[in-house]
Amino acid sequence: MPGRILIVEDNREMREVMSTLLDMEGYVTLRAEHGAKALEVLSTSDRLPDLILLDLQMPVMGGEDFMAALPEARIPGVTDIPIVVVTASRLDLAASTEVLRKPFEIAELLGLVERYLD
Amino acid sequence: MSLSEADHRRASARIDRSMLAMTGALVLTSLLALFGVWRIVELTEATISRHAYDLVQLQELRLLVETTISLDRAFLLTGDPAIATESQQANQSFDQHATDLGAHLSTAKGTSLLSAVVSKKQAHSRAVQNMINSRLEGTDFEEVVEEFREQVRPRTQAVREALSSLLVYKADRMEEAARATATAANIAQLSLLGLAIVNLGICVVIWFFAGRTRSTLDNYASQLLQAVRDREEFLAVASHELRTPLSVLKLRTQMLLRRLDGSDEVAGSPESIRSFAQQVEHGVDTLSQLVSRMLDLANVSRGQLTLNRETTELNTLVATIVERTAPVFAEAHCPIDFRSGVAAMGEWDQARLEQVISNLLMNVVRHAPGTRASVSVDADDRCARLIVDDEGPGIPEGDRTRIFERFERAHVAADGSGLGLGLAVSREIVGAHGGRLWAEENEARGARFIMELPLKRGSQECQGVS
Repeated sequence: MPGRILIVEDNREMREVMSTLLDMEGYVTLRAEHGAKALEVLSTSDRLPDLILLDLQMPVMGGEDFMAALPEARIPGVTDIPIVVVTASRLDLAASTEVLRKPFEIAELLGLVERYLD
Repeated sequence: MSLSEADHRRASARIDRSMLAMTGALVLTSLLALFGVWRIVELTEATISRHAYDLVQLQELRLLVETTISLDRAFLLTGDPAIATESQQANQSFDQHATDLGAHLSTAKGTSLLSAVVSKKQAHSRAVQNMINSRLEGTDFEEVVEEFREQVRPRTQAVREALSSLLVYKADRMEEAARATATAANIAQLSLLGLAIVNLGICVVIWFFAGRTRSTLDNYASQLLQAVRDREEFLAVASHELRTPLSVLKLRTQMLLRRLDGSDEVAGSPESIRSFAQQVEHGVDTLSQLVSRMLDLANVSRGQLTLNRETTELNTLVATIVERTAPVFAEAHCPIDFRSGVAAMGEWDQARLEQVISNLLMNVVRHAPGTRASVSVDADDRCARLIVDDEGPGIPEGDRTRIFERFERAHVAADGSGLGLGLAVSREIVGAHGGRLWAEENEARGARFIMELPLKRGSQECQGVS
């Protein structure tokens, strides 16, 4: 069964290019333009994603607010989904947070996804 | 060289210290001048005291002379040797006083006049002694009287005249000293008063100019620090915001290369390669737009915003932009409603206004996706007015001014292209037209942006307090 990846990114082009790339690699991608939309996708999806690629700075609900809201969403198994933050920011994040800094190369993205899904 | 607030504080402290040092120097100068004047007055007073002492001594001499003359006459009448002895004692006392006075006199003329007095007194004393001797030797009384009349009396008169000359001289000197003292005191008073006024004036001028200089310095420092902060913030925001479109560009370029290299599973047909190349070109355009917005800000900051005015009708312009952006609104699930009003013609820079209106519309897509938007145009006899409403989260009252500042955003832009410059540049553009742009809350508690433009060129009637 192909791995499912939720891409939470407010930049439409970035969202599309990542999705296209991962689709081409055989993954199934879900998309959301901000945190609130991602919660909606998670609560309505018949199968939870195996990985979340999360931008930090987004309108309506940013990445950090999304991570804080996730345990309160009461969706079974949702807190077990690994999250990789994809950001251009130099913000201080918890050491345990996996971060992919923009701009990155295809090999970096695919290597990281493979590490979590294979 | 980097300028910090601490540098500015140190510079201000140096100005304060310099001002205090200058004021201290002026106060010290004033005190020295006061001391100098006090010494002059003191020395002049000492001169007057000396003359007064001399005058007292002279009066004493005069008294002794008159005493001697009286005793000599008494002896002449009585022939009493005791009176003669008393006369001699008075003469000795005169000599003593004359010696004291001579030691005290400082001018050649005074000494000369005293010498004349002493020599005439000595001549008088010798004449008196001769008369006493004649009287004691029993010379005929008539002869003695004749001797007194011929020898003593003229010398008595000579002594009196010499003494009078000396007295007049000393009195004149004392008067001169008194006049000099009065003049010195007046000059000292005037000098002190003048010095005090000049010093006070210098202090006031120094403090005034130092205050102005410091105010200017504060102003420059504040502007400079703000410019440094702006630049640092600009670089931080710009580098952050450029990374997302750069990522897109990089990924698309690599995908294109993979396709050309055949490492992609999908065959690299010319159509698919063309599609990728177009996407790469689009990415470059996006970056180019970002750079243009940065340049816009730089131009606005330098006051180099030039307007190419042409006759423009606002309803038509807004309708065109609404139509052009309709697909974007559709994608964001934002139904948009445009209500045109009365014709609103003005001499405006159409391209710049398009930039402002597009920015206001894109703000709705970015910050209120999935909500209803409404755009309306209206005009009165002075101003054209554009109102853009949405039903999104709105803008907190405390943020309605801040969002027009550079690098400020109520929320992060949905397309990632927001540098926080759009509203700042938009307000500058509207302001350059003589209009104003501001935000408020609408009935739906969403955001409302209002732009007013003067219908007549050069009119400032639409620049009320926003």
